[in-house]
Amino acid sequence: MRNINIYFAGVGGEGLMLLKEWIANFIINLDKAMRIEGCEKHGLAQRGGSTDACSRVLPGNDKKVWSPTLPWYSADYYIGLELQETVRNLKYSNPNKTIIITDLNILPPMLVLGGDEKLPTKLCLEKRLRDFYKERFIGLEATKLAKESFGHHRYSNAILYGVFIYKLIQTEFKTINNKKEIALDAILISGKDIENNTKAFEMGYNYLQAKI
Amino acid sequence: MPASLGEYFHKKSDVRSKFENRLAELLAYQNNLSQFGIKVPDRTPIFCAGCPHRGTLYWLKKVVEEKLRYGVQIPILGDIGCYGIGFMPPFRLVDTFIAMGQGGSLSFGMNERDRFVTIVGDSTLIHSGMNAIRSAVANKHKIAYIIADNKTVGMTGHQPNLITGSTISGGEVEQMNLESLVRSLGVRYVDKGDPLKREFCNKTNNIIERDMTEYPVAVLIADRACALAVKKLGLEYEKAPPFHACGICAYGQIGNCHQLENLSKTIGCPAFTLEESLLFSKDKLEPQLDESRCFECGFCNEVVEAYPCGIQKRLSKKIKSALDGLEVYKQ
Repeated sequence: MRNINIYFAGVGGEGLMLLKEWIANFIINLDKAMRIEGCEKHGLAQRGGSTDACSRVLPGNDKKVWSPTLPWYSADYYIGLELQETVRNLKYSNPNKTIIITDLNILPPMLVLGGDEKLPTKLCLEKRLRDFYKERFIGLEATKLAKESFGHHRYSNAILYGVFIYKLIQTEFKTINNKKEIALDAILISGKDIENNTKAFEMGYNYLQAKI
Repeated sequence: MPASLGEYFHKKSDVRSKFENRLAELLAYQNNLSQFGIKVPDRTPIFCAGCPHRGTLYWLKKVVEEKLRYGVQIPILGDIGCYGIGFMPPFRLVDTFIAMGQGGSLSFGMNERDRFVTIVGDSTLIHSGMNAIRSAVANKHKIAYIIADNKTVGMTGHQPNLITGSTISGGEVEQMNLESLVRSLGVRYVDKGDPLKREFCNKTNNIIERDMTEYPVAVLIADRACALAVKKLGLEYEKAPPFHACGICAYGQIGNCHQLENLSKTIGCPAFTLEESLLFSKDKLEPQLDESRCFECGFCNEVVEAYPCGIQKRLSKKIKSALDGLEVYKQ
């Protein structure tokens, strides 16, 4: 077991903090000896600005997490809830090791809507990221999928959560049993829409399985 | 033992080499990432969907622009709170943004002839805004106050303030009447309105145009609850359907309505997104209303009704004349 650094980037109001809480819950329930710490941006987070969050996981023996924030170029996993925010905070990722999981959704900032600046196209951003991170880049249209199958964009985070859990289990926690059940238990902390969130989780979990 | 850290650093070659290796590693990462080469536009914070301050600032901007056409400049003094975001696009309206209660107090050092507009939230008013109102009344300063009463402390996460009628742990206490509080401070002109309705534009115009010698201080209370706190605190919130393209003109039938474009530019609502145009080439993006992000405050409909497009104007005239004709026919 090694230290794991997880970085989250997104737009305020997308549910970044709840997703972070799910993941923290999952990791703690896997092994009670593990320690996880993190930090978020509050305040303008609710108001459509750009936000980010960090989580650091340490295995049982060394229990002290010295700092909840990440240094640059040090994330092992990078979860983007919006494509432009993913590109904006790439300085936290490491071109040699970071696994990027991102939603290919674009929310236009006010400067673009007002006509002051131009929006980079989705295809251009996606292609550049794929060139840069090769097979470690996982991009999926989570918002589109959620809207088509559940009728609301809010289930897109559960899909991303499923993808992330599958990838995490494949690379880090191969020895522990009942991992999927523990991941589903972590969803219960949100307390509502559990049926749809579970379905969305399964969708994301099976997404990579089918691909590989 | 070395005398200083620098000496230690120079003597211990392994520490130095470790440091240099790490630095080289970081610089390599930096070089590698700088090759990415795509810049994305900045993302400024905007008001939430259903926010009452959007209406307050939108109508105020309309009035200020109208006055500017006749050469009258009105300084807008902001305060700490969500409405302080008004200095960012699309409004770019609030001129000062310093400390709690500093909005009204700042105007005392400014030009005495002009009318000022100050925006104060309900929490800021009860914290340190009241004394500025009273000293403005006592010294006959010419200030128009807009009190953005959203029934909670919006910016820090919906804690109860001293007006809302609940204790800090959630228990009930007696509510406070904001209107009678302002009247008791000596303000003679107090008005109240819903900022997400188009009648609020006239009310805003009224407090600015009031006779300055008779009513030096005029107060308008924008009475609408914070949209995010409605569910959390169980507040009342009147809902109305959002704007849809009427489909009369060719653009409207496909959904590339000019009014939608105008709305997305001017009101700054997060429910408006850009999607691929059906009418033009795929590179061009057209604003669309994403209903899953909409809060159904109905403000976009109010703006469209206040400023209809050319086709709607002409149509309504024709319909009116047709109706008049019918009445004549009936007689």
